[in-house]
Amino acid sequence: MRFIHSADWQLGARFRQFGDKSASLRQERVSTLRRTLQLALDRSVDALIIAGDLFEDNQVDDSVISSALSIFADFGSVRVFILPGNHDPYTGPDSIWDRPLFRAAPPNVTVFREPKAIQHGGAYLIGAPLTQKVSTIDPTLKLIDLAKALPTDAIKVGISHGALAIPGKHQPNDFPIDLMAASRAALSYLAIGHWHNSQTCDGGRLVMPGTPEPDGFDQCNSGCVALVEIPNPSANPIIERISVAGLTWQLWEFDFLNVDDAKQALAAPIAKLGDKLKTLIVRIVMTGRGSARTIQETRTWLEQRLEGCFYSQIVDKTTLSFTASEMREFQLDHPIIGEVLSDLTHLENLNNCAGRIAPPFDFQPITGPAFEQMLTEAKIAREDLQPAHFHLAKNLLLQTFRREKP
Amino acid sequence: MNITSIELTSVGGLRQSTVVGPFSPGLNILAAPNERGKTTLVKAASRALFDRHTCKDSEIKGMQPAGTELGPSVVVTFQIGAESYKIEKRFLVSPRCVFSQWRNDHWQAIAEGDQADRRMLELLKAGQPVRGASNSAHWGLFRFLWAEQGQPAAWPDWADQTGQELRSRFARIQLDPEVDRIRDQIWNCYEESFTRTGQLKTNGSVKNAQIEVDKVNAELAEIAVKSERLEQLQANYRSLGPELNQLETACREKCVQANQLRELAGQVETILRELKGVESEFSHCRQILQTVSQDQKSIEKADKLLQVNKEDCKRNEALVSQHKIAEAAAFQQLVVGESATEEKKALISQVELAIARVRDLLKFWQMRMNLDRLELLRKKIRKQQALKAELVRKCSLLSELTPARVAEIEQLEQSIREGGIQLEMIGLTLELVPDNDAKILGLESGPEGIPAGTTKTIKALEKLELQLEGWGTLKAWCGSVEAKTLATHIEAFQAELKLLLIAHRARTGEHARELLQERKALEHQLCSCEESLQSLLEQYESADAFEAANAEQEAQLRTYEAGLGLTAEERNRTAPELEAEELRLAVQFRQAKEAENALVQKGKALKAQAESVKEKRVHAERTLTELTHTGRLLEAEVAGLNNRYPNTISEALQRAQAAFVEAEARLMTVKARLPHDYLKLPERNRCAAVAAKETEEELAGKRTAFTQIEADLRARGSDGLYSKETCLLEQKEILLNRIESEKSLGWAHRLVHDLLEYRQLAATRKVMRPLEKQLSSSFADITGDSDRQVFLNENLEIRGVGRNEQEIIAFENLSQGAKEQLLLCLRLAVAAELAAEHRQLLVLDDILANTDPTRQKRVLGLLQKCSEKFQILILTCHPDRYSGVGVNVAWDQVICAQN
Repeated sequence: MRFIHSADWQLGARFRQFGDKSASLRQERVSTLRRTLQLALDRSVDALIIAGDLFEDNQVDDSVISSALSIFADFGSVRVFILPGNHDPYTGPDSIWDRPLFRAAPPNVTVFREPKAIQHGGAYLIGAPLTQKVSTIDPTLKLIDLAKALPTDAIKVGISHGALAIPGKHQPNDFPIDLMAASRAALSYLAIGHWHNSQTCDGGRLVMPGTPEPDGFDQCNSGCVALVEIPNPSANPIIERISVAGLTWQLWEFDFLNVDDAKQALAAPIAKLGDKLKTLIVRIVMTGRGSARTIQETRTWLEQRLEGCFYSQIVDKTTLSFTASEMREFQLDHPIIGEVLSDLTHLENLNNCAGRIAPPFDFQPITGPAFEQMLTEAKIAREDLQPAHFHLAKNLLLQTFRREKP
Repeated sequence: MNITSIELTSVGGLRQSTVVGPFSPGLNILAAPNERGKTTLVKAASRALFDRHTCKDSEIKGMQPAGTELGPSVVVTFQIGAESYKIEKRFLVSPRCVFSQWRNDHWQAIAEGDQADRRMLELLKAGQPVRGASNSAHWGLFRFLWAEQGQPAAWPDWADQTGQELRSRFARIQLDPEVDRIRDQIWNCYEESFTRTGQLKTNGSVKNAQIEVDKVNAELAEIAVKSERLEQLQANYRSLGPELNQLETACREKCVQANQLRELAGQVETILRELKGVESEFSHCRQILQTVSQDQKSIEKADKLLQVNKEDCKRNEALVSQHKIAEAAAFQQLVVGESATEEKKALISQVELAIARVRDLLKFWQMRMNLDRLELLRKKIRKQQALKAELVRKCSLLSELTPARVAEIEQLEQSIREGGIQLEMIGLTLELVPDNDAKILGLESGPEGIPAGTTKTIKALEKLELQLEGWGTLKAWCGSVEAKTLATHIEAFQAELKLLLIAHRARTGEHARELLQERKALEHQLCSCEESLQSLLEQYESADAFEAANAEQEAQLRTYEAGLGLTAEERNRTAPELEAEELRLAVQFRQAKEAENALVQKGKALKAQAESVKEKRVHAERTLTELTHTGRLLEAEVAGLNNRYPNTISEALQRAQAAFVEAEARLMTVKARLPHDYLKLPERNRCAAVAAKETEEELAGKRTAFTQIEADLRARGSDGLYSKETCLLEQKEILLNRIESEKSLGWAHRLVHDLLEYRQLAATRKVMRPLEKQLSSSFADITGDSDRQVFLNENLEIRGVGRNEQEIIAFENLSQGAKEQLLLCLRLAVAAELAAEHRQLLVLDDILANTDPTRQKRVLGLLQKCSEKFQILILTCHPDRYSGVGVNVAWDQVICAQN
């Protein structure tokens, strides 16, 4: 028996923080599904098992369902077995699985609408669909009785969906699955889904492959499907992880402690990506202290390097510093601007736990009541102000100043 | 700048060329009466200094002499530093402008026309409007140095560039010009999305994004409602499934139960019909048995009652006889008592008659005594009336003098006396001192001797004629007019007095007073008499009324006496005797009345006793009659019952008992076949049928609902709410990010702007103190109060005056005098500051209108002191206020016509 085990496709998922790229991100998951079907065809597998959460929600649009069914129809020789997960549970007439579209699904598609065992490819596929979004009951318990009713010498592949019951790592109502659930039900392999990072337990018989298309910067072990082969009922499954993801997610840091080193450290992986730069989703966090000019130059450098990537985001967590010549300039020629910069630094430090940074020259900072009065007149609530606002204000002042006096 | 001279031609009221000057470099007093053109002079000079010569604005036209088309011409000579300049301008008619400088002992033109205008402005650092005439806002520093007439308490705005420069100079720092530009730029950016008050600007990008977010939120809310409905349907769907199963089971069970009960009810109905026939037979037997038993009991009971009745009859006959005897005795006692009562009543009538006679006699006595008392009173009244008549008569004889009249008489007498004295004083006085004893004849008092060496003084009105013995006749006359007039007055007084005295039958004033006293005494007596008379009459309105009442009383007495028909003995009886007799009879009457009452009570008791005995007798007779009748009825009843049964009643009873026992046995047999709760069976059967039907209906309803929910869920399942929500949330996120970003940017702009403003003001505030000290010092010089300080705000405007920050009196609350003095101090400070560069001109156009003389004097001292540093030109219509200070040149002397 050879099959591809995947889960957590989350088709139709939302990506709120990516602005106008959200639709592209959703479309990319559909493309990945097509690639996976192609892989199944290429590897001549007996089945493609989707262990829950093919869709993000029961209330996704018909167009999302149509796009998935269309792919399944295009690969009609690949048997697809789908288990409703906690995101798309089989709740009855309103669920995806009872929609007219799915009722008229291509013949190669089978949905577990009730707990049952299906004989296919010399093995029994045993699935019990989730019928609700949360539960404290182990969903694999239903598989035990079903498996018992089958011949003992048959290959039995269980399909379920839920969190691994690792102490401290799961919510009690998140369908906790016993770590030895495969052995407990005397299964050759238990295909599960839920978490987006890959997991393996129970001597390699209990497998969670992770999402085939990552959706966060924190997912380091995802973007793959599991190609599983079970030669006979008593043999351990042979598992191959195959990457299918279309996009690469990266979270990088740029420290201004040493700007040149930081630039080199970033330039290498970016260059390595080559054409794949267009599949890169990257977030770069700028930290440390730097002059306004350096920070602006670096930002420009980064923007140039990341031009053409799928999505980039630069988070500025730097602190402005002044050169000796700048400080002299402010002291002698523009004391008021120097004082305002010092005020902003002072106010930023008050809101920042990073510690107090000495102002560029001695001065008396603006008093609390005066600042409160200022905020009241401007209709700005004190609690709404973040260090970033003062940082931005400083940058604005310096930019305007440089424009006026380059 | 120092003005040296001003020359005007065809300006306002000054049609001919007029030169004012030269001005001294110190304090100049330009004094002239009102409407002589002092202010016109300064205004014209300012037009020459700051306005384009080609300007045709109404302000320039206003300089033309009234009713003419003449071109106003102004020439101003002035010094800046060591250089002397002259500006000549003619406006409106053939306008021209020449700007000259004093070089090599003569004026050398250095610019003409528009160029000259520009050179002037550059030199004075002033501005010009694009069109029209300039105003003080364009005059650069001069506007701070010219205190215009009528505006002693007004101060120009510091906000413009000149004001800022001046503030910078006071601040002793160069305010950063970059800061203003940066601030303006940043503010412009801020204003793209926000208003000055921090609100979102309408049609600004943030506001528009906010509106879009609101729309998205509205759509999201709709989706939330739909989702909630969907969840509700899901919940209903989940709960309805098990409910349906339970209901189907319950329905089946209830149907089976209802069928079983229906069969059982049919069987019971058959048994009940049979039971009904047996029960009817049983009831008949029981009825016969009851009838016979009842008859037997009735006969036994009637026999017993008949026996008792006979015994009762005998007892009652004996009782009737006893009551008859007692009744006769009681009525006999009652007759005796009534006779005694009648006797007592006759006695009481006799006593009542005797008492009535005595009381009539007593009343007669009282009436006679009243009449005697009235007779006595009548005598007193008549006496008092006679006395009153006498007094009235006396009064009528007296004169009608009043105190006023008497006072008038006294006044006349006094006037005559005083007149006489005065007449004597102003008349003729002779003093005779004979050497030897002499004798005077012809005196009114008769001849009089005068011893030798003594002085004899003789007074006369106006003439005197004396016979001096041994010497002859001495005649002396006095022609005094006063004496004659006085004599005339005295005569008039005397005539008037005489008439008054005659009118009042008085001989003299003294007599008149006596008559008045006498009249007063008589009137007093008359009053007393009338009071006494009134007291005697008491309730009577008058003496006649009294007499009438008296006569009526007497007539009543006579009538009463005749009605009584008094015997001789009765006439002789006295009142005490009659009263004693009345008392005795009253005691007798009370005793007789008590005896009568006792007899009446006793009679009532006897009567009640007799009635009681009679009633008992009647009752006993009635009972006897009833008992006799009852005995007869009982005998008839027993006979009737025995006649019903031909044989005996005992035999009939035995037959009825046997039939009853047989019927009862048959009934028990049928009843034993019925179930124990057969009576509730119909109700149970009905309830079970209803319950089964209701459950079926409920099941049908639930099934329908379930089907509907299922269809609804199926329909709603395809709504794609999540996807729609996803689109909206992503759209909202983009909008919120945009809002957040622009808001942050706006806030950052606002922070920078406000902080720049704050720091600029702080810089001004920091250097404000020296100016405050300077002003405080000058103001103290004027007021003489060195404890008070002058306080400025951040804009260098005078905030107020006070001993400290907490006791500041705001500028607007100060008196007009204090305001004009404070602003004078500020102008002096400005001029002093500017004079550090080169000398300045300070023009004060009649600004001390509200300053008192003491402070005026101090102000002059201050001005004189300041005039060492800069030129001061004071325009005034009160030259006396400025005497002794500065170059005080009179208006007439400084103006001279030039041909």
